[in-house]
Amino acid sequence: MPKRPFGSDCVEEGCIMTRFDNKVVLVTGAANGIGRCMVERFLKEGVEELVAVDIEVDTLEDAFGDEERVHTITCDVTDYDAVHRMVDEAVEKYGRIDILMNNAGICFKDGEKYGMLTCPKEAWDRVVATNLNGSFYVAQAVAQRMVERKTKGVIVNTSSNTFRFIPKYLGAYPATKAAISIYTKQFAKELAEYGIRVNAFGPGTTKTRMSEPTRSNPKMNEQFLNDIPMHRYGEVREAVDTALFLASEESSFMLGEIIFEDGGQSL
Amino acid sequence: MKSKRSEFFDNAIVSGPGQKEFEEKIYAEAQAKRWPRVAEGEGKFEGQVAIVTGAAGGQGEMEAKMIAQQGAKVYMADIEEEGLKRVEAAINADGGEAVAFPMDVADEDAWRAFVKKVLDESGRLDVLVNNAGMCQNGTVLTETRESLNRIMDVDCWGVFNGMHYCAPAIIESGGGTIVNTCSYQGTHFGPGSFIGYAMAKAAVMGMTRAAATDLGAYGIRVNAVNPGLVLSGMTLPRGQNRKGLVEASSMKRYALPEEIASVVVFLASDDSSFINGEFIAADGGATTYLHLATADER
Repeated sequence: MPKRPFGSDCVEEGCIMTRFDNKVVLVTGAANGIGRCMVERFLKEGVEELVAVDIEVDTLEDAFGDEERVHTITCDVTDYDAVHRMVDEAVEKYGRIDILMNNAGICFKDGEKYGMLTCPKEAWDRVVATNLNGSFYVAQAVAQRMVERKTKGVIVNTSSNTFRFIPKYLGAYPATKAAISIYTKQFAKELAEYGIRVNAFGPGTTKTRMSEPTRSNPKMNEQFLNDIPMHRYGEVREAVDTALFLASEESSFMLGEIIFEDGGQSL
Repeated sequence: MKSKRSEFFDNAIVSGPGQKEFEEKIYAEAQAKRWPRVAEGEGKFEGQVAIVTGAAGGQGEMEAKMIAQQGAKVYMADIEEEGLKRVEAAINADGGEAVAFPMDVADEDAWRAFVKKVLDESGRLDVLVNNAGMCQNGTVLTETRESLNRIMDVDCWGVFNGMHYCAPAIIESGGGTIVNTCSYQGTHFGPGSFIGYAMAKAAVMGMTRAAATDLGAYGIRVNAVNPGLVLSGMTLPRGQNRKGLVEASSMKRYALPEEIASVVVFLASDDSSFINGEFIAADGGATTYLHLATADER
């Protein structure tokens, strides 16, 4: 953690701030995995006003229910009206949103069940509804509030490396993450004039619940590790480091960029 | 509280009377800015040794300063001795450790001597930032094989030399990182006619990916930054090319050198410990293109 935030003009001894001083942060998909670690890291770096959003109310409350600096909201991002209620609640609570970590997403994995020949309509639709539509609803709703309140904010979308190297049997997941990467660039170009930066990061196979089926399948495990030049899986910490870099002023000249964070798996 | 940076962003006009003087003033201020060493034990590069090429000015200067700020001993190469000494003095005055080594990155003997000096003095090498580069105006009609020799020597072979001579030392030190400097010219060929620059930078993209796969198993990550238009000694005299580039970028401005250096610090440090073989564009949205599937059939 840098003790002197990037871009600070202060050089005096003892002039110590963090890179997220006075920022209001909203994280979706905050109950598990990368999103949960994002919240923990923002808190560790001194963020005082944070909104943690997830559909899994019990896990979310267990994680952050007792944390004074976190305001938890239960929300299903596939529900457009619920997303707007959620964002209004967040803005009402803290006055604005400076940083959106648009992270909620799902993936179905079960052998070949979610291959293109066999993927059930319900599974396809649900992944599209959550990863593509849901994350767009959140990004749009937050961007609208940022523009209204003239917040020169930052939006960080969670993409994936899967749309660059296309592993088999992941149903709609790679396609939705490709779509997120495209709308990241659309948002970036259109919001630049308001001083809002929009970028995305594309984690590879990270040690989370979502990748558990891959890592515990001996055949896939071997193939995946062979394909990663660094011959290991990503730690959640590493994905969050990238995400927080994009959320901070350290990336102040980056716009519409996708950082793949996958050990070289998709090269 | 308004910082100098936000003032710059508000005033980063792209053309008009006084623009040149304004840019020179902003650049001088950027060079004069101090990057004091963070508290002992709290830097991103504590106990590490880094090489930064092209450190006598522009983004290379900021990279050296910011890496030294975070605790590394920085060995700096550049062909401009005077500027290099100035940066060395500035870093040492701010509590960092810097050593100037005037050299031409195209010179292989100089690279051997440089790496030997680093290992003799410090016993290790953790970070290589291949930043040295030059630019030359010319088109396919005006350039010749000979007229491109120098830019290919510096921008293409200079980067290869750096990786070739430093990678064994980094492996010996237990792994580390290499950050190359690419350009949107290697991918997009924006306004301006720089065929030599485009050729060399496209080669850097290729060698970055190849080296990332080759060196991954040795614990070396290789990545590149793709800067957009940055205020530096290289771009300041090229005002005529600047307008189109600024117009093309969504942010409608150019970057301070430190905004590229911060990306290099990210790529060189453990903050990016699972990023390998990537080109990170920091260009204000000038190239919001997509890296679509380029991998082999799997």
